[in-house]
Amino acid sequence: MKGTYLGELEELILLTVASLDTEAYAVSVKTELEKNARRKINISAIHSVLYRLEDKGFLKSSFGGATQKRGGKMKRYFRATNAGLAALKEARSVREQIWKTIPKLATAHR
Amino acid sequence: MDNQPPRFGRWLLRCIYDDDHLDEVSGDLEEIYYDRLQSHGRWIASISYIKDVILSIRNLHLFRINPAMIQNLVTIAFRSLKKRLSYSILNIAGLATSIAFAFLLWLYVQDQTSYDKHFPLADRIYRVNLETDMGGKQDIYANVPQPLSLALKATYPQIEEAPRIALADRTGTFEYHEKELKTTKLIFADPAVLKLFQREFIEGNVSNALSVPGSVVIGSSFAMDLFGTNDVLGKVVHFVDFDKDLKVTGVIADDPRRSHIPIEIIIAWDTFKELESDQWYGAHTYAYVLLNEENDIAALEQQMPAFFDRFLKKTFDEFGGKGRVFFQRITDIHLSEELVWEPTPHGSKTNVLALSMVALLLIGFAVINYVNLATAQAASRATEVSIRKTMGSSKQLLWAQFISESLLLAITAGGLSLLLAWAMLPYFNSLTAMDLHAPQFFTVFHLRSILLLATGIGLLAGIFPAFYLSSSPAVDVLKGRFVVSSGGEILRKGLVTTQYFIVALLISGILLVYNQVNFIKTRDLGFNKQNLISIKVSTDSVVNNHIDVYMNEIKASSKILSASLAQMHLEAESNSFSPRLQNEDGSIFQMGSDLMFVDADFLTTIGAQVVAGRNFDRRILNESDRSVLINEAAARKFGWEKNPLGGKFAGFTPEDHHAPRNVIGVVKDFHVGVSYQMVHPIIIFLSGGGETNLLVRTDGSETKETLAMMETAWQKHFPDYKMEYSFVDMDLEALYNREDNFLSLLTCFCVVIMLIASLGIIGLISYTTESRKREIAIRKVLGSSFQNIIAILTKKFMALLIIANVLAVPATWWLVRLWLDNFAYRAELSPTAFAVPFGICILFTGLSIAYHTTRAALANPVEALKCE
Repeated sequence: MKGTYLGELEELILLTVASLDTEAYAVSVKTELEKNARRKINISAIHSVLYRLEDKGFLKSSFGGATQKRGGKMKRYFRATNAGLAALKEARSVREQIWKTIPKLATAHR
Repeated sequence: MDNQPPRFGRWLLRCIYDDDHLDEVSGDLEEIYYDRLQSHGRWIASISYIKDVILSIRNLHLFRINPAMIQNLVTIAFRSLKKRLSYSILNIAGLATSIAFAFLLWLYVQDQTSYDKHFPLADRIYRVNLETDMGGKQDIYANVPQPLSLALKATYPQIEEAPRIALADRTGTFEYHEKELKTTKLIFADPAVLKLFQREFIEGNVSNALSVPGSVVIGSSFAMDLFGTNDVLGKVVHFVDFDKDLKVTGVIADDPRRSHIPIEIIIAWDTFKELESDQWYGAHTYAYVLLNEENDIAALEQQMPAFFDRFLKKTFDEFGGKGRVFFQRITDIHLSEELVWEPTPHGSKTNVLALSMVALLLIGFAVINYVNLATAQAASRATEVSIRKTMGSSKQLLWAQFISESLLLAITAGGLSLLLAWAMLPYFNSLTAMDLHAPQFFTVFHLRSILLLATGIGLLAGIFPAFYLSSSPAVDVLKGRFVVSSGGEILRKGLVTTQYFIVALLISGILLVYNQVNFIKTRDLGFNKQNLISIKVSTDSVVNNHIDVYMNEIKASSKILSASLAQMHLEAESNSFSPRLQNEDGSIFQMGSDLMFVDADFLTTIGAQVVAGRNFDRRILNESDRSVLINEAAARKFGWEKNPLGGKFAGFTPEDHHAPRNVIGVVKDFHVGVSYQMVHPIIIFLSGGGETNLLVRTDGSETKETLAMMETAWQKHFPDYKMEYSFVDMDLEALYNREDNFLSLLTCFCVVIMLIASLGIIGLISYTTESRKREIAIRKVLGSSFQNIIAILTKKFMALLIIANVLAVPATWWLVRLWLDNFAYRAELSPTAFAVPFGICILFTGLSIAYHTTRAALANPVEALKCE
């Protein structure tokens, strides 16, 4: 199972990378996550997850876009691979299936 | 540029990440840094930057240093520890002992500071205390008049609950199907008590457990002992002391966590509604309040003078007293000063502080020892360091090597310390009256703290030697010109002096504390506490009505010298009032004083002396209505030193139309309760029934037989009651439990500190002699005498020792005075207490120097010189 399994934070970050399309690098992922998921995550944790996802083959990376603000240092841009997208879809469908099996959820919340 | 990220952070980042990732990661961090710089300012941005860098350590797999390198470091560290095996063992033993003892102390401090903190609403719960000034006699009571709780709750809406709690001696006997069981943790309380002091209910329901009169809630293990089961809802149990049947409405789980008012059984307040008092004086009831969410205690406390004037002033005016109502957070109670009528004895903040200091010192000593020994080895490690440098080792790597050595050592010691602490747990428990067992001891939290502590010590102890050892100039050393730098020497001297200083301080400190404890225990109390037996006389019972018959019967025995009935206990302070007193000239004044009701044989029985006038005489008609005795303290305070027998007691209130009673005698001051407090002024009345205590003076021979005789007589007179007795000297001894505990803890831990300090000093002495072997050899060859050599080696240590001991005198003096402030009577600070540690230090240092030096001095000089 290792390789295809996505942890919760991994899934969130992979999703964010996919949604950011060509603009995904560690800092933008962090900002986006803080905005959408309303949780603060330390940058080192994001680095750690991004590199792990790359090792698993869910992300690929390329260099580019040095700016003055970064002291002229390069960014590592990430993009989701096909395998990554597939893993996301897989995770989603698993969840949806389980959601369906919860009885009376709709009435309980009304 | 000025507002770049902190240099330290950037440097650390360069150390951590490999080149593949350094650029992008530092770029990302910088970007965030500049964002924060704009939004939060430089300070926050820098701190967060460093935090980000440090958290980056989680990306271990991208580290610059690869795992093989770390493995190599560990291997090297092992080898070097093995090479200097004796030093390593010395170090590990010292460190493990320090950590183990520091850890145990930490557990004790935790226990002492944990009181009442576990109650969910603890930060909003306060106890109401009452400070009174009865004509100059000031007291602070932990309990208050009974109507106060209800009045508070009715007057101030911010008080959510104000349950009353009464203790009634805290003991109670319960009977179920012929089986009797006694508890010492009994309270009578309003239902709201369960909201403040929340407990887990095994059976029954929190909301209605105490709402019906006659209900009782009992602790789970008490229920198990009495009923054999916890399934006891609705069962009826007989409350022996008040002869009442109670219905069990709840079973609460035992809670081992600490509280200043431990509770095992709660009886519904309304059960004894007829005993309720509407007096605004006395009536020992504890009042607790739960404030609303706003929790504004300061605002409430401001209202208290007005509250006092409205409710209590009238009563206090009658007694000529003043008072002040104030609040105390329940979590503060245990370590604060003990008030009058505290439910349980308190801990002591000073003692907890002193023991925390001892724990810190233990750790400090371990670190000092390590630094000392490690830097002392500089010379022998210089060659190794130089060769590494020549082979291309970076300074960072050398640091890593030395730090990994100290880490390895510290972590090994940490593991050992845990076993050591575990092995000592039973002794520790008996020393501190704590009840810790392996399951509470080996928790993840504790394991983690020990690991963290060990790592911290390892780092702390490793940093200086790492810096010092790695800085030796490689070329010079390899050429054979190594000079031990003076910096290390000065540091070592400083550290050794500190150790001597602290050892001296501790030894004198212990001696002085021991002196004081001994002093208060053996002080002349003004009465004879030996061979004095106190028998409980329960009130409102057959015993109370016929106790005089019993007393007269046992008095017939030749073993019993005298016996007396009293309404007081020698180990507890008496009640105080502000009586009206009449001078010789007929003028009347009020002044605070303790009252004591005793029979005519009391003074003879306890062995107190009458210094002026006479004792009560039962043959005189109406003696109890006409006469009182006072003690010397009262004579002084009332201003009657010149002619105490001219004074009169004129009653408690102006409405008291009883004719004034003459002072017929003055009793030499005797201590009631602890011996280190000032003797209170006391007025002694001749009692006429209602006594609670039978005091019996035996001749001290065949105590066992005498007791058996008393017991038999008791059974004959009161077959339904048990004779509950105690020895007065033992009751008094128990008052000093806190001081005893403190002394034994202090002694035990200081012995450990001294052991560790001596390990360090022995290590250093042996090392110094070792490193001067050649010097000694050369001196010998050149004709120096044995005494000469000893003198040269001893000089250095003796100088440090003397400096340290001299410095320790004022420091000890100051610290011990702080502690002694708790006592009104103090032992003299004796010079012996300062001379003893000096002697011990000299003896100890002298012996170890003599041993090592003799070895060096007796060795054949050729052995030492031939290796060059």
